Amino acid sequence: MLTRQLKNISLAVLVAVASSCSDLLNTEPKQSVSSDVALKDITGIRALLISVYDRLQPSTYYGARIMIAPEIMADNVRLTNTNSNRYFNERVNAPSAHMQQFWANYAAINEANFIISSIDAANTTAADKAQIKGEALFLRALLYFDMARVFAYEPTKVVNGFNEGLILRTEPTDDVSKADFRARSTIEETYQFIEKDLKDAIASFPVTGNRFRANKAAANALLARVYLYWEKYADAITYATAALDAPNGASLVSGANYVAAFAAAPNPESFFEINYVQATESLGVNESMHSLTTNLTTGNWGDVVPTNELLGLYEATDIRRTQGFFAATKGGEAVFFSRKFPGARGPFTDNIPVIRYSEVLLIRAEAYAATGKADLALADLNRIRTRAGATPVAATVTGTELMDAIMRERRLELVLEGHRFFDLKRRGEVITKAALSAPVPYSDFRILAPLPVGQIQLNPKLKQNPGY
Amino acid sequence: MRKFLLAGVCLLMSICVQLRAQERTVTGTVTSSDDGSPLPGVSVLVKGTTKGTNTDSEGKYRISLPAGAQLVFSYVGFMKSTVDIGAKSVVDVALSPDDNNLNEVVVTAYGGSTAKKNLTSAVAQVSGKTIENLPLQSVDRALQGRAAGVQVTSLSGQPGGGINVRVRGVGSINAGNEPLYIIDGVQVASGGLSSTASSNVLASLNPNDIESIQVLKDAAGSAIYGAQGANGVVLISTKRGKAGKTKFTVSYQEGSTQLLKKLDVLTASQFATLKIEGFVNRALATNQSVETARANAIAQYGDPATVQNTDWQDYVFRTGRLRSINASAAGGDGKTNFRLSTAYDYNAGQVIKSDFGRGTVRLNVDHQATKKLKFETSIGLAATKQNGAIADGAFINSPFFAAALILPGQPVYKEDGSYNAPLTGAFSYNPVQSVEYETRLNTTVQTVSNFALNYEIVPGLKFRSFYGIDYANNRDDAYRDPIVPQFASTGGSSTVNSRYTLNWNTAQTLSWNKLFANDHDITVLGGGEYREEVRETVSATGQGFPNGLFRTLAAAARPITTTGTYTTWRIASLFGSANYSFKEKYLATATLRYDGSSRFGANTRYGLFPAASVGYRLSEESFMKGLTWLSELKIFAGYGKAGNNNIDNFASRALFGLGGQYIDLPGVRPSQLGNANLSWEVATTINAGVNYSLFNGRIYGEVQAYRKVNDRLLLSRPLPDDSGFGSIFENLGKVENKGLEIEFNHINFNRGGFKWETNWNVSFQRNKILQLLPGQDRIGTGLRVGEPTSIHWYPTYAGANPADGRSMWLDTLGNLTYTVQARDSRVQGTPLPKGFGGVTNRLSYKGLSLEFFLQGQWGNKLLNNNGFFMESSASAGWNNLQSQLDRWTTPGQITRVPRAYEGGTEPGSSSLQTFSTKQLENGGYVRLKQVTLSYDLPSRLVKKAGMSRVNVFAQAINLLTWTAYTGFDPEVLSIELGTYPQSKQITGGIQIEF
Repeated sequence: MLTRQLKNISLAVLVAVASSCSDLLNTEPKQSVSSDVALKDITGIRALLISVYDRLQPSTYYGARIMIAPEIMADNVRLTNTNSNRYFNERVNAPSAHMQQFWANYAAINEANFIISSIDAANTTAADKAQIKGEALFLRALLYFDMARVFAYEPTKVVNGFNEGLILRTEPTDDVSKADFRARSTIEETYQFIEKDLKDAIASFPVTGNRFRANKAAANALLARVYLYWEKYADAITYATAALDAPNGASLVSGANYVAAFAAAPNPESFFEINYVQATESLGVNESMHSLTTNLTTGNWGDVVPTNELLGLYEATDIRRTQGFFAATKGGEAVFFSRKFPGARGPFTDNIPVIRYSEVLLIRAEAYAATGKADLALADLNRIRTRAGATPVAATVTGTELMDAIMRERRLELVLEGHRFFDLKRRGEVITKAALSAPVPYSDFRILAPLPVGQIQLNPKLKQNPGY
Repeated sequence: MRKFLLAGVCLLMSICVQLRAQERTVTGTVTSSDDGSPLPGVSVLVKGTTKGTNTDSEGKYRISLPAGAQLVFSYVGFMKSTVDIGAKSVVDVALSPDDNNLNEVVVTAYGGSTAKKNLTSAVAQVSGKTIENLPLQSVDRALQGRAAGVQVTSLSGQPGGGINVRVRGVGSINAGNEPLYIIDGVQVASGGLSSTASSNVLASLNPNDIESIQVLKDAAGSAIYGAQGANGVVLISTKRGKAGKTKFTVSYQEGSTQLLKKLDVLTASQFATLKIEGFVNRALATNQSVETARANAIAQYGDPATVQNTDWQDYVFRTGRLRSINASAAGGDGKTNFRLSTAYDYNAGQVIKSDFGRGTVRLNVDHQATKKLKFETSIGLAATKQNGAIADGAFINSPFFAAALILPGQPVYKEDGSYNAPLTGAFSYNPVQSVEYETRLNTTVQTVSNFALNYEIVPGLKFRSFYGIDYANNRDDAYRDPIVPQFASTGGSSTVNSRYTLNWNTAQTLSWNKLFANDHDITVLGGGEYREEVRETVSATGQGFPNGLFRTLAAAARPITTTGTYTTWRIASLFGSANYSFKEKYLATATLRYDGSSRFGANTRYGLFPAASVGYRLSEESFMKGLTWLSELKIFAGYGKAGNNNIDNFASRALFGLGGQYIDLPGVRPSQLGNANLSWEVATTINAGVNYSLFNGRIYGEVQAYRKVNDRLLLSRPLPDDSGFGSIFENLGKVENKGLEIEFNHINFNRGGFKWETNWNVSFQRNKILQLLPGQDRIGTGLRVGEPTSIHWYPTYAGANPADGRSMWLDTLGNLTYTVQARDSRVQGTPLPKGFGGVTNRLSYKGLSLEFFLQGQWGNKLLNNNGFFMESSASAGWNNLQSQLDRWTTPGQITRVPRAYEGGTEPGSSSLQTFSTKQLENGGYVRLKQVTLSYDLPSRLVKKAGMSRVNVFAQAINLLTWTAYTGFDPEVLSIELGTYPQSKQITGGIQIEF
């Protein structure tokens, strides 16, 4: 009796195991979903757009690197004597100590491509589609432009005819067959691509928008910056003006509110600002701008301070000097720390302004100056100087002298916002180092970042930058 | 009809009566010749028949047999004895223990067992005796140096810390290389559970519960585990009760643990001297004021003449404590046998605030319900509690990493007795303070239990239904108190991470064994198996605590994050095996397994894994019988395929995963491309060996050679980054491991109660990548065809330039250069040892025995990444080693240590802190792993006290290490970087049996 029952049971178990194998082996993950269902609904596309913004936040990109590296690779800031070894090699422009991390932007670009290719068929209103598409186009342009600045010469400043730009991908990689090997486009094609994305974005956006997200004014401002790098000054003036005149957009704050503006969210001057939520996105004591550039919180690295040369350029009454920096001691060394990243959004957390009103004014001033409109240039330049409590530049100043004044003003105004190295590079000038280490001539190979060695080895069509 | 039946019964009875008339009864007691104790359960068989009985719990037997018959007494672990009965009616027999290692019983897959002499596959064995009373937090550590072909490396010196076990080399590049662990048939989930400290899944097992550990090394043995067998299989059997009087064992052990070695760091004065040099050198090189530079250096690092020194290692390392208490009871009436054991272990580590405590209970019960039906159950419960000072790694708040690096001019305490915090320099945490005010606690409650039902359908045909579970609930508590300045900004933070692992398997098997014509022994096994594993975690973080008295999440002012993970996989299988033995002379085994795994692509979910092996015992041939010095000679060989399915549970799917967040909205993003053809890796092994035993077992051992080719290796084929994806997993690569394993044992002396025995084992291994991506001979820089799976890829360091003291390297052309680039790197050795082994010497005289065990490895290079920091000519903001006093100072000086240069990067030079052969060191070592001195009190004294055995012992672990390696310890996998340093342990204890 027992025997038979046992036999039956065991037989049943064996049969069950053997016959239902295919069902038995079906498992589903919970933190992920299959790609064929992920973008079926507009909520999936919206969440994918969030991911692209998220990709801007790490310390290897807008979180710190793009703010500090271009400053320390030139002459605006330096490391304190005792430091945590961060930006140690960038400081002396060691070979390969550049911003090649931005090659990783392609992951975000692929996500933007997913959005751009699927938004037209999405189940939402036309206005919603236009907004989402505009944001994705703006972000793709920003991602490509930041890479172009790092990996390629500007179209008008090519050295030895090396005019390689970026690999331009417009379609999402949804299957391994699409992950093929491609060659770099020329830098001219790269700029044209960025220009088109931004123009499409501007056309797609409504008039006003959330400044923590891509918006029309920000797209105008970024396009003005692109034209400045491209030396298309008339276009730069047009789009800078469009940004500066945008309704309900960014505006120039008063001198009295200058420092406080960096603690406001958004900074009233920001056309586009990356928001950080302390609870989930803080870069913490190890990698945040707050930790790297101040001693305001115990445990901060406080490694990155302005060079004495930069400090010497400020007039005594300039609030950017008197309030923008404060004196402190770091490991026995007398230094000044910036107040641009005061931890305003919670411990070790600040928002990052991507493009500010002041910068766009200075873009327009430079474009005016380059096209011989000294009076208009001075008007824009002196708005910045007067606001800061500095002596206005005299109306008699023109030509090279005026251009030098604008470039100097960019240093004073935009320190620790990631411009100095790029400003020197786009103008084909020597990278000056404030007597801290040897200057880097524009013809030096270290001007461009190396493409990742692994990518060169992998992709036979990919050309490495000269010297690497 | 009824009449007919009656007649039949009468007929049968008459035959019986007739038979009885010719028989007589013999009784007796079977004892052990060793100590005279009775042996229960001894098989007593009338020679040439199937008629037999077993001795009872007092070793007594009663059997009736025809006149002139012989009785055969056999018992596991004892020599078989055949006795002529003659006219005797009482026959007492003393069985002598079987010292012949080849008669040892080896546990095989799915509840089977076989004598070692009949094995035709590669099996390494460690018996429970070896492990007993060793202060091990996990039993796999016992394999180190004791099992040929099994390389064991501690991942951390943390009590209860993780361990790395590799059976016959590294066969896989991206899939796991961990063997499959099976505890009494339960396939346990591998990998540590904690994230706050290094931990080990086998840490829940009490070493004193182990009967034996067998490692199935080749496919002939492991292919029956199919897609899980390629990395070898470790079968762990726990002790079970035997029929007889209940035996009690109690043991107590107490000892201390110490750091293996302290690093020789610079004193504050020496450090300040080097700093001044560095500042001055920099000022000279950059045309700045030398006097200002000197003043700056003194302002920051103190005046060498007056600065006070603190060796932070003295505050961070301590003498730890070890305690182990064990109690067990085992016995049974033959129908129901049991073993119940419990243990408590505590180990306070050699680093402040790190410890490990474990309590275990194990109950193993066997019950013979009917003649045919037998139940077996094993219930193992364990609770462990581990305080980890910090995880291994280069953390500035890691006490054991930072201790040698903190600027030495700073005291631990201020004059008022409070903590000196924060410190200056890159290592700004005062670790004595931060560890005191930080909780990093890992608690685990785990059960590894099973139940099996055995039913003998007809004699020889058995059905077994097995159910096993491995369930663990684990929780990490991390609390950071706002008293520590660096934690103040958050107002204190607490993270709780709770996870559970539910892993269960069931196997239904039928086995059949029959001996035909006395010579053909056939065993056949067939069955099905199913395993499922689910892992789930939930974690939450809160910030803002009133003070350190409130550490629960409920006290947090601000909830910060909540997160969770979930993963699962399943495998379903059918398998079979057949063994054939002819006269125990010709041996053959074949196995076959069919597996389906949820991890693999839709097109490649199922697979077949075959294996076969043969053996030939030459010593059984009649022409060999004349060689009296040869007691055993067997040659054997096997071939088979086993799989490796240790890949991510959802690696084959195209997925969108979580994609961060922005302005408080959640993101999703494509996380991987799909590969419907993704499949397991296949390890094909050829194994051949010789077993020998000479001069009556005075010399015995084994030699084996193997070649294992792992094919269809999962490689992440790099995709161009511009595609948005870094890589995709495909089955592309091929790796070869080959090796030679020698076990050599000899009894040097055995006379007058004095015995000296030596056991050697040595393993030679070579590992080589045969194939990577199609048409490519490398992936990145670390994987190259023709090189081992793991290599060191660095530029060559050429020392300091005698002219100016700057670091020099060799460039691609072999020329000296100041600036080193990525292209100047080359293969600079491998972290995989060329060989490893161990040697045990055991001397015993009467009750006294001394054992010493040496273990070591050679032929590997290690990256001393601690040295990267500590050997940097004092150029950065942390302390350095004494070796830096050899820095270059004067032109013409030949030294490897470049001149001090503040910041480390001279104009036109690469940083002197550049990874190169400067940090590569020979990782070979020999270690006096264990010395045990033990004494059995004279048995008449012990008996008088009502006990059966009293043993006192003293033991030392890791007593001495011989190595050229300059870091804390060479027992690291490839890189030493902030690893919790190893300890030496000295303990004493007593074990009482009654």
